[in-house]
Amino acid sequence: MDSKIFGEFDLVPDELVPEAQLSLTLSPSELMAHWLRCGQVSDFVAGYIASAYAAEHRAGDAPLFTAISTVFQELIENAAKFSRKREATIGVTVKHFSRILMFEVTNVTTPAFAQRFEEYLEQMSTVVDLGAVYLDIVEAQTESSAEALRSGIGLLVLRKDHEVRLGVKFSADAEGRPTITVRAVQTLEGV
Amino acid sequence: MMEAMEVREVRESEAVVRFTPETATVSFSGALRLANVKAYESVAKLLAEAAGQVSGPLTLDFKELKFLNSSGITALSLFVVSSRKAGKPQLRLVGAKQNAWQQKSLANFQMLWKDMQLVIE
Repeated sequence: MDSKIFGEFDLVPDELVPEAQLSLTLSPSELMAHWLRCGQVSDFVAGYIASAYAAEHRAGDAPLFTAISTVFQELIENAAKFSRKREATIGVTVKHFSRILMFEVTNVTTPAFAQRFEEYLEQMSTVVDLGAVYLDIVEAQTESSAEALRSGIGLLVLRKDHEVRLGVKFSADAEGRPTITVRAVQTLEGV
Repeated sequence: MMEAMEVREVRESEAVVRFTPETATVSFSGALRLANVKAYESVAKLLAEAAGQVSGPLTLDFKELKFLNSSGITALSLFVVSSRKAGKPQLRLVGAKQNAWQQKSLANFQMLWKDMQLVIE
């Protein structure tokens, strides 16, 4: 399977050496079974990065901590919900460059979800007014059942409210299973 | 003699949502990071009860809320839209300046109902 890229996937060059780097491997089925772990791992990542700014903020009780944890939470929630549940892991890499953070989250998914997500990204690629999209999604959902609420609002909120720059790569793992890699770049300046 | 209206609250693993009838306020504290919109049903039910009990405006106080995930934003958005469609109660949202995310995320709700009041303290 050829890889396909959407958005600002190559915003941060791979060869750039980070000040700090962190890698984690998580199980989607465990995150789904123990949902609190999504928040726990988000807080861990946020605390790890925010502690570098301890002179400016007290890690764990700082706007920076909340901002990082909130962004990571949305990424890990999506990976947990939309992964294959068996024989698959979620790979996470966090790179910290001065006042920029890059999260990379990779998960193996189903062909059906890969197709749906690709269609969503195609639609979003031409959108200029993110606020209008948010309104449309919410108004449409008032007519839907709660079960049907898989709207992509998480990624929309990251872009709209947290000014996160996103890129997505579709590829296949060694066994040919569809794999999604989401890269999110968060600016810590001004947080 | 009328019975005093009781404080009602919903306790989630990381958060408490409390309705105080005397002040017509629903206050949120902790971290609301539930798995999906359906998981917010108990919070939605509390909000609907509060909306049914107040005779004037209803205040939603987020000052002590540290996190709200996108499923929570969706669940609260649906409440705002249902209040707008019903024409009541008038909503007043209160956030805290130190929770930087609230200024933008709470403004989402105001986009859904322009008459709503948003206060960042």
